[in-house]
Amino acid sequence: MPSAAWRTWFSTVSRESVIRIEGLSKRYRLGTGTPGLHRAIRRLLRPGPRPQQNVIWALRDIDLEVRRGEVLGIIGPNGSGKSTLLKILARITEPTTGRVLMRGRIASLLEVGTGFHPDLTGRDNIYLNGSLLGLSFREIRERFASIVEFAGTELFLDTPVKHYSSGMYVRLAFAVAAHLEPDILVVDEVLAVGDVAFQRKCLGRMQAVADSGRTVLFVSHNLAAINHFCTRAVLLREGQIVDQGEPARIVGRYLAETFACQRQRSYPRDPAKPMQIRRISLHGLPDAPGGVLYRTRPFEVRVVYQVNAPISGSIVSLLLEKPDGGTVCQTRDIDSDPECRRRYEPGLYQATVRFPGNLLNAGTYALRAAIESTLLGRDAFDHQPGLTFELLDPEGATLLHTRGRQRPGVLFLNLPWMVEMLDDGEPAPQVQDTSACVGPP
Amino acid sequence: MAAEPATTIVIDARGMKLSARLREFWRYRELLLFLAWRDIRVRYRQTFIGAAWALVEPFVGMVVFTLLFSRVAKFSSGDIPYPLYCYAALLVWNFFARAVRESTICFTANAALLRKTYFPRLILPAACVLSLVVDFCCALALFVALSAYYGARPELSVLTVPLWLALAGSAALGSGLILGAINLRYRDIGQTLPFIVQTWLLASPVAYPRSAIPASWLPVYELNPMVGIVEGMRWALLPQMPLDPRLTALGAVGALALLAAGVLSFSRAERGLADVV
Repeated sequence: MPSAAWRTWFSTVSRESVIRIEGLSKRYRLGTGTPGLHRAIRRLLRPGPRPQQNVIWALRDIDLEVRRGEVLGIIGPNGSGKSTLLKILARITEPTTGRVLMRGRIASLLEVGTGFHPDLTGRDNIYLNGSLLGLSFREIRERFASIVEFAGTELFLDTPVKHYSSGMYVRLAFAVAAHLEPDILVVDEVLAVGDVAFQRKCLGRMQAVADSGRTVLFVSHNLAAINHFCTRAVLLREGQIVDQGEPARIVGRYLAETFACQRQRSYPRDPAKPMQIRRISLHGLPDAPGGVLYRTRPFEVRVVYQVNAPISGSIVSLLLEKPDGGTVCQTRDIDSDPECRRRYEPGLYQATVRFPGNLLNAGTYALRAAIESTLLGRDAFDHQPGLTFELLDPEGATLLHTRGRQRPGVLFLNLPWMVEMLDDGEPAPQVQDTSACVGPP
Repeated sequence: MAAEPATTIVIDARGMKLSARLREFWRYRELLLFLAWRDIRVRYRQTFIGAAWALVEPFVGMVVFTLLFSRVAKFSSGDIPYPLYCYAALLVWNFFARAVRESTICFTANAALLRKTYFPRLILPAACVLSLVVDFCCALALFVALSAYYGARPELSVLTVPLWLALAGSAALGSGLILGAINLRYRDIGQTLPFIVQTWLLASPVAYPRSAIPASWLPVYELNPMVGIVEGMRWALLPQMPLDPRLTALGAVGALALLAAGVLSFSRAERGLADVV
């Protein structure tokens, strides 16, 4: 039971704060934790200073407060301590120093297959999972139908879950965790396994959890989801909180720091090629801090290419793709100037292409430049790996989205809608000849 | 709006008090039942004869011991037929031995669960022991059949069977926790476990009557809590058996001391459990 010192500490924590983390650190030892017999004997025979053990601080002096109803997104590169933090909150591992106060029941969804037993059926596993989260059988029975409905796995209820696909696992696990009405819901990067429709369903459900005054902690590499869904974001790096605040700003900072080098890409000179790409770069208009690109603003692509020997009949092109494989568009220098296929003299050239704002949806894109030759056949003679970049929603633009979900589609067009009332709800007058409306006047 | 949450969870690097631990254990009692039930389900799933396996081990043990100790070594079991005499002890011994084995390895066997969910870790070995009670009951049914066959009628002392079972369970859980705590860091225990259990069997009056032990060994021999527990189970199940109160007290105190030592040593090993399994 908490000591008197603890009680004093409690009283300093505001009523609205659901999670309060103070001075939290976690140390891991690297290498094998267990010294074998041979090492123990060697240590006995040759006393002296022990070799320094390799330690790594997965978390270092974390202070954080989460208030009721907040949706907190945690982002950061791999190995920055995101998952360790969630593991400590889920009480799977203990901190090395520091303390955490949490008010309420916590449900965590950390990895695929959490708390499932492969030999038991889906039905049994729902009960197992529920009781692992601290629910009584009666409470689980009351929610059973809605869990099954949400997961959409009715057919497989009596099949051992070892025959489930990983997607089905996650659906069931999320359904259980989300329907247990925890006061705090902790979700690690598990949703990535489900299909898009299910991910969307999960985000909606998480939003509903948050709307009912509960708290959600959410780790994801899906920055668009963090941006739309969270009320606050925390950026972790090397086990420390680097920054926290408005999600759009934090996501922007993270991207800027991570992909700063990805705003441009250079290629070494290769005199063997008659014509080659030397650099491709991206520029926001106007240039935002950190080189972040926004969906609503135009951006420019500059391609610098080198001609090593006089050549004619070549075309410079840009290919915009989605990382999942779809091509968004291709654009070529001859589009605006058919005479462009002129003879190039040796030298360094730069082509600039402007992509308008309010055209592409927010998301990740890949950009490649290529030089093709009409004379040398269809083979591209310079085809280089390109840039990956992220288009962000500007702050405040979340209103344009349905709550908690990003608008689908590659394009985001602001099309004019004209709405008129056709019927005022009164009994309709006698039917008129409709041909008058469509026919020419 | 969410109701005012009833629970306040405190995570402290300095760990949790024992009293808080035990309270939490009680809060998770339904999980204990569920895990025990899960162990039973999983144990006999995908087996051909199913729960009949619970009978095979004590029955085969009885046949082997009867051939070896009654026919070859000529141990006397008094008026009671040796197979019955031996089976009564094997019942509780098998329960104990399996409980020690399974509660020792349950942490490494359930590593996936431990790495991904939180619950009071003590629940896991406790559920192992609890699930074996079902197997014990199956084996007990066979004992009833054997008694009828040999015409042995149990006395009123049969009502104390749950008591001896509980003592055996405590001793097993305690030993399993101690061994399991070591096994978390040194997997050597997995190698030595069969050897430990076998030695313990020979140090308990299962195959032979206690009277076969030389009197000068008794002060050490009787420190084994299973001596009192096995003798107690025989007294409960067989007619006209004496009950030695001193031995019973030694067994009970020993079993509870083992349990306490197990809980304490496991509490110390529990920290960082998810990092080492």
